[in-house]
Amino acid sequence: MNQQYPAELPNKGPRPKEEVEELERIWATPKGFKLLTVVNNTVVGTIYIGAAFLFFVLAGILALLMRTQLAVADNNFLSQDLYNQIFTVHGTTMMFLFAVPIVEALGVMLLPQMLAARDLPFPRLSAFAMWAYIIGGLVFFSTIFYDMAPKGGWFMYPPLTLTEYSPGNNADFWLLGIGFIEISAIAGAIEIIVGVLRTRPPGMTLAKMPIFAWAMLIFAAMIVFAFPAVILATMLLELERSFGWPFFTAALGGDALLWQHLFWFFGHPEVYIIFLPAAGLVSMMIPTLAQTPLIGYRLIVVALIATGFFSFGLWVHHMFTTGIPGLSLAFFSAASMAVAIPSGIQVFSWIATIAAGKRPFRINVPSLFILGFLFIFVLGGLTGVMVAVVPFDFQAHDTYFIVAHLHYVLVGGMVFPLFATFYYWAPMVSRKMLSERLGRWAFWLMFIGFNTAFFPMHITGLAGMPRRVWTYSGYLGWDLLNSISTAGAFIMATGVLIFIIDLIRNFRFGGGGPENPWNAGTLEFLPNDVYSTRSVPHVTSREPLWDQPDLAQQVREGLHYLPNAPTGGRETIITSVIEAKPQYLMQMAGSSWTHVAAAVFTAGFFLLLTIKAVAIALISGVLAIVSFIVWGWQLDKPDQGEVDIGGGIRLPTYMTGPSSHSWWAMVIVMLVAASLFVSYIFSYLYLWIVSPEVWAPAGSPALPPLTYPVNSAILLVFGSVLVYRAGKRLPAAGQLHLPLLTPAMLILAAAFLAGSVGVEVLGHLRTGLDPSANSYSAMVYMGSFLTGQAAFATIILCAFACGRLVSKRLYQKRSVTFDNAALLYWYTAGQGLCGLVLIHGFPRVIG
Amino acid sequence: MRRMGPRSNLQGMGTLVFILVGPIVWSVHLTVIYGSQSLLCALNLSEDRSAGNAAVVTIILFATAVCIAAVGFSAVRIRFVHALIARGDPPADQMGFIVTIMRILAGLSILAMFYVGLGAVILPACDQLR
Repeated sequence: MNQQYPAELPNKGPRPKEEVEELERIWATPKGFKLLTVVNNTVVGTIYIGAAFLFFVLAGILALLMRTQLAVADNNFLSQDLYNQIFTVHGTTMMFLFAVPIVEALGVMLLPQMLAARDLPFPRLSAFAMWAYIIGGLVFFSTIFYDMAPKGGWFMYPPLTLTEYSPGNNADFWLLGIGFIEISAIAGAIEIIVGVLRTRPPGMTLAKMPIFAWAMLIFAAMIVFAFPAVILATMLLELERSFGWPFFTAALGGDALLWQHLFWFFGHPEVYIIFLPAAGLVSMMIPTLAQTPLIGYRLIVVALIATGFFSFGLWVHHMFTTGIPGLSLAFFSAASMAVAIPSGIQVFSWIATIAAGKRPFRINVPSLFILGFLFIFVLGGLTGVMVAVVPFDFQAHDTYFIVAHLHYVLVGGMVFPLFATFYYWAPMVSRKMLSERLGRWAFWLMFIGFNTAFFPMHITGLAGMPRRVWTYSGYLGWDLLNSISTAGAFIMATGVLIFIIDLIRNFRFGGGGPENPWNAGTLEFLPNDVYSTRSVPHVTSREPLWDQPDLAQQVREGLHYLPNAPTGGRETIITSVIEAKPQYLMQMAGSSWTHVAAAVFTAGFFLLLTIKAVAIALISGVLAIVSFIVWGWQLDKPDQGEVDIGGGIRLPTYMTGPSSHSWWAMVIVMLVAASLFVSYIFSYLYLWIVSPEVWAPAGSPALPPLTYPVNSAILLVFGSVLVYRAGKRLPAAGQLHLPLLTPAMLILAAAFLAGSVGVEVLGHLRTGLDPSANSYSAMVYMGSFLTGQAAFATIILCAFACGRLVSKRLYQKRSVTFDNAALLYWYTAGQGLCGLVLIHGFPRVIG
Repeated sequence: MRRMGPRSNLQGMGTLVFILVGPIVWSVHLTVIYGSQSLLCALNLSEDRSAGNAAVVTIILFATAVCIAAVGFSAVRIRFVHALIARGDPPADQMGFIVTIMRILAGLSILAMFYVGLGAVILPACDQLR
């Protein structure tokens, strides 16, 4: 056996030097203006993080303006109207433009390195999500400069945000702008779920997955189920504002509390969507800083999953004072307390790991921020248990006590771990480490400043100061506490400023920095380049760099899997979900303008709609669809036969069906659509409970005759059968004569889908049902709107598949495009049938 | 190292669902009890309010008992439930991890369901209490 190149490794050395040169050429980052087209995860991740941090700073400046206004009583530094805009944009920016995007950005940057993948499976999707977010975010934030910003708080409660009380376009910027950014977040979530489940290195079973990967998996899954609720809410409110469909107007059978239910079904999990990845980062850093494996790995996995689930059972605890029966409150109070158990598991696990270290816990900038996080987050958690107690919440609701609590949870639970992350992982993408001296200054100023700013708010709140007040009277005795809070805010801002100075002085993007400076055990500290790691290691433990001391050298020399580019393009290994066994080699997309154009035009569509420039918005929408089609056309590369990745493993280079990564992505898209539809069903039933008097047949025109829904259903079923039959008739590879019947069947199926929605709408129109008449009629048309939306996407996919068929890019063994269209078709048909049962069946049953 | 086919991916999806049996049943439980209680209280179906209240309590206690029993059964009859969901056994070398995670999650879910269901015994069904 060769001492330097052990025989049991997948590949023998030395490897040809040309392999590295080829990898560098294939994965090269575009230069100059073309940098905009980049898809490499480290570059996209860094720009993404930079943009999110910019929004953090901008929203922080707004916070300082608010604190200046509140520093003394009876102040008029800001006008009341501007103050309302500022607190709305501050909260919205922090939650939607900073907290969630920066976590997704960290996922994009860190996950491929932690999983030793060449990249995440849909690199253009990550880049699309980033550009969409940057464009949408900047336009949204800029509204504060020209008096167009929303004023309804980050949760935008109606009736305040209905047109009567919020005229103008201010609220629409929130509804359409943030709705659009939520789509970007969902795109990122799909990327992360498929990436974690399918691009792990061989041997990295679920039990060996880094905790951050677990946290990101749960984070992304939560986005899939939580975000559709608020997307539906924004759709409903925008439809009411623009067209008068009365979902939230009590006089017409609507209910403003429906918004609160939908918003908080998203909004409470959102807190954990922000916290869980931060907890995952902490679980990665503490073992390194303590130089010992994480204590209670399995319990932490349980805690992450349990927190993710239980967080969906807490939304009503934001609504304790809305008049809901006491027993209902008890359900959510109990769930609010139950969620403290998994959170507690994590805290004790971290403390145990710190205590079990082989050496004393290293005190440096990352560990200081982690200790600061533990202190602040535990305090925030304890006040969380306090407000979970219903009678206490009655007193503290909408006071500064809540402001203190949410900042202790969010800043403690997310911002402090984030700064630890910046210092800990900077060497992965920077040639220089950040300064230990400046970092310590930043930490202490932020820690002292934060507690000085927010601890007094507990007392201000208990003294009765309500949230979102522009100013207060000097007679109320809140002056001193507010002045202290303002001083603390500026001290904290100084800490952030010092961090920015540190970045400017020391952060230099690029490789060649110190390798594994903290002696970490996980794969992201393997030698990296533009192509990620030279070869993909076979993982045998949770801390491979500790357990295999030669691993870094072996990986660098290409002795593990895939040391080259056998297809001549970008590629990564796809492995099985549980055991991480290699299944095939995925051919990946490279740099392109298509996703950039798609992001620009999609943003244009939503933002132009906001200012009611409908014609240009529609043109922008069409261009966005064209961009998506061109983008998709460049994917689905043909099979290149089996290739050798080392270790005697030969992998196919194309895969269809449930083994394909795109099949998994489409299933997740369907889950998103299903979540949206379930939220709709909830809304329909909720409004019926609130206002049964407007429901048909008593309160509205009678339902159309059953022939309408039956015909609509027949079209859906026939269309589904046609798609199934078309799948059986796909041509073989290289077949000279295209069977014209197959595309014809797809086109007919698409027409059936459109016809089904058309028949349904026509039936209601013929009864004289007016969507603006009452909440029932609005809900009826909303059902068709949602199914029509899904049908529109399906029809485009069917047309796309036809195009691929005709151009001979779609055949039996290269059928991913068809598989995706078929899956979405069947889903849409299923949703359509459920909608018909609800709309036509429910009123008949209750009537 | 052998390659794996499409069936293993579907089994993998089944295994993920199996791990989540406890929390999934917990979410069904919360939906059923909150939904039915809200509905019955809002409609006040019975003229005799005490009968309506009794219906709420009965549904909550029944749902709680059934759901706790279902999760408890799943945590005990591991192989049977896994085979039902994923059509086969979990991978042998992953069995310990998967079963441990599943059982602890099941335990937490049972605790949460018990805690939530307890409210029905202590509190009136529909009163606002303020």
